[in-house]
Amino acid sequence: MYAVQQEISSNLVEMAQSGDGHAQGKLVQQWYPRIYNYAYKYFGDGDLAKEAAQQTFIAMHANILKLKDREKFKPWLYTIASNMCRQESRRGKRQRWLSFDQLLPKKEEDGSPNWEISSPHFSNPEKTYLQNELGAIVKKCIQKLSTDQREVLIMKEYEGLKFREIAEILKISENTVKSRLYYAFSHMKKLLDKENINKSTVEYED
Amino acid sequence: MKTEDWKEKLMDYLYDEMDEQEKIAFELELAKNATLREELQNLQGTRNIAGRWEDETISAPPFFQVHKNESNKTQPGGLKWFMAIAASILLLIVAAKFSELQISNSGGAFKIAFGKEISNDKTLAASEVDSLISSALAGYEEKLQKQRKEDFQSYLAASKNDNRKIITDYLTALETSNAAMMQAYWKESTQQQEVYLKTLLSDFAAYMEQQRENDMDYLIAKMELMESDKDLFKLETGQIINSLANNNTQETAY
Repeated sequence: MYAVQQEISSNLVEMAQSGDGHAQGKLVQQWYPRIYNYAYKYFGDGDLAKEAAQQTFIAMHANILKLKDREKFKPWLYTIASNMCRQESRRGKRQRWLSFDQLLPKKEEDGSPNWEISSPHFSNPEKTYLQNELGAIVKKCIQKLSTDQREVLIMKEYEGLKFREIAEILKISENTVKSRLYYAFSHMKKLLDKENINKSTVEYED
Repeated sequence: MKTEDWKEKLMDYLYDEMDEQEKIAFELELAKNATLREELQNLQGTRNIAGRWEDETISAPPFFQVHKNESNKTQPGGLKWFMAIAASILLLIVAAKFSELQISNSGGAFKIAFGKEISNDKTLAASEVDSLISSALAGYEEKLQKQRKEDFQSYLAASKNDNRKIITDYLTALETSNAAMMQAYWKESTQQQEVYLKTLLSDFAAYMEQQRENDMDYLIAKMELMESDKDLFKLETGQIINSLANNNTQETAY
């Protein structure tokens, strides 16, 4: 799947920098789903992803005046998100918390607010099941990649960032980005082979 | 060239980030390099599978949705600064009015006065001001020295009397305490000697009494011994007489 490129309105960023709370709110509404999904794919955990995404937008709010080039809002925001994910990951290694969602039994009539996660809908139940199964396997394999490879893979494959932008965010060369992505795919292929997932399996499921 | 050496190009081709010339050259290489072609197919296959992980559908949490009315609190920076400066100047003018501030800038001298009219006529020359300051300072220094001397003398006089009184008091107290101490010593000593002599005399009397009793006991014992010796002698004498008498009687009978 190709990530949807968000249209950045430098005017919106300018308004947010001048202290317009409404513009900041618009930016958050526009970018929260992307940053949440980046963090979700990074951690494979909804709670940690929510935490990292919220911290990212708190940092954005506090530091938006430091952004000199408004055209670079997107890589700037992903830089914050990447740092927050690493920070959260380090904290997570020190303190492994269990959320109440994990501890308490889930109720059938869970009245979740509309901004919480809702699964994608498919018309075909079998297809939905297979899609979820495959998604879960891919999720598991991505979590087994090293942090460096995982970051590059998510930014490129799911967030649709340019190699130049990823290099800028991670402060490495473009060739290093490409090299990490190549090895990420090689590693992914081996992991998927172990799960008996290959091109022919996917084609059969389709 | 190994497949790994093509990894950057493979990634560029996979994500269509090559320019036209590079793309043509890479496709020519693909056409003749089966291993590279296979590697590309593998990468495309893996990418296709990885793409099956769908995004989560989510919207921003409500606490991030800042209301528009907050933006009204901020005004353009220029107007804010202008208003702030204008308010400051107005405040200064009001303060100057109440404090009767007068400012003059004449004859190369800038002066600020509060409550009095500035007069430029009665100005003094710099040398006059210097001499006035010097004389004032000299007078002040002289007065200060005189005052210091008087203070020092009065301090000495006061301290002399005080010291004399302190020493006299001290000596008197010392003398009194010495006399009291000596009297106490002699009294104590006399009492102790008296007690000692009394004890000695009573001990001696007791000793003499004891000695006399011992002597008497001894004399009595001796006299009793002599008396018993006398009785024994008398008895022996009687026995001798009796035996003599018996002997005479027997001789007469023969």
